[in-house]
Amino acid sequence: MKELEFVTLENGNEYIILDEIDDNGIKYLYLVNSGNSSDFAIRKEFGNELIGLDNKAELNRVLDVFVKKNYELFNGDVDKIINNI
Amino acid sequence: MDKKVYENIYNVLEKNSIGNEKKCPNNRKKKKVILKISLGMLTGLLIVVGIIGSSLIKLNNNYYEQIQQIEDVDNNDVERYGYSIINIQEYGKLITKNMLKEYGFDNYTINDDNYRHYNYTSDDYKKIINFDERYLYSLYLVVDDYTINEFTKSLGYKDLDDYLIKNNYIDDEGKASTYKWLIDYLREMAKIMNDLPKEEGRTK
Repeated sequence: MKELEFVTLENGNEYIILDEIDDNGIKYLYLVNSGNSSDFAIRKEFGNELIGLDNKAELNRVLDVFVKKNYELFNGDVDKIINNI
Repeated sequence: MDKKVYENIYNVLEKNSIGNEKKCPNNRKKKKVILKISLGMLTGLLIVVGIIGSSLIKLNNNYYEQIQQIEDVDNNDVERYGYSIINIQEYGKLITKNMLKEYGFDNYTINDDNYRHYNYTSDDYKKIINFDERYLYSLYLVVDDYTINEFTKSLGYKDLDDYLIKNNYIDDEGKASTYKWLIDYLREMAKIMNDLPKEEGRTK
């Protein structure tokens, strides 16, 4: 049994905080629905709130940041990552 | 998983994440839970979604528009470019596959992990003239362990680990680290892509 951090988003669903990354002074939260492992979401901290991203460019940029940070878990090998899923 | 599955996850992620109307209090709570899937697996899943999502957006566009974007930036810091790892990797993989083909190395099989196993030895690869070692990581992404080791032997190293250690790609324990190599590779490849002549970039 693991202790994890959760947030409840505006849609009422509860998400596990999978990772948190600071990028250009903004903290991004990478979330996965606690009841559905294919339901991911990303939010950024804004004061005391979590808000959605501005556009696709921001989404893809912060996804790249996530990939780069976590890549070494799989030794940077995309094929091996896919095979491990 | 089928690529379609990742694409669907990406689409859900996009729908879930974009929109300034999405707001909620940053109220966190801690709970002890039993996960059906490990956090490592979930992280791996999001990595693949990120890479595939990125390719959906970027590689489905005219690839040379991406080259243009890379040309438009003025430094070699990969983090700041805004293009994805897959752009760099796919470009490098294409170059190395073409190089092997041009030298007549066409006797290969594809193993279960989708890597190419070339039926050649280090002596065979010695006929390659002036191989640019910055592309060695690209080759590493294409071929199996046997092939990469034979290839690095042709460059004068004992094997891949020997190459990594001699080039200071080592972890905190002094062991060969492909991760350190990856970071250096991305930077070097970014420079290469940045230096592509515009006309060459558009006609390839």
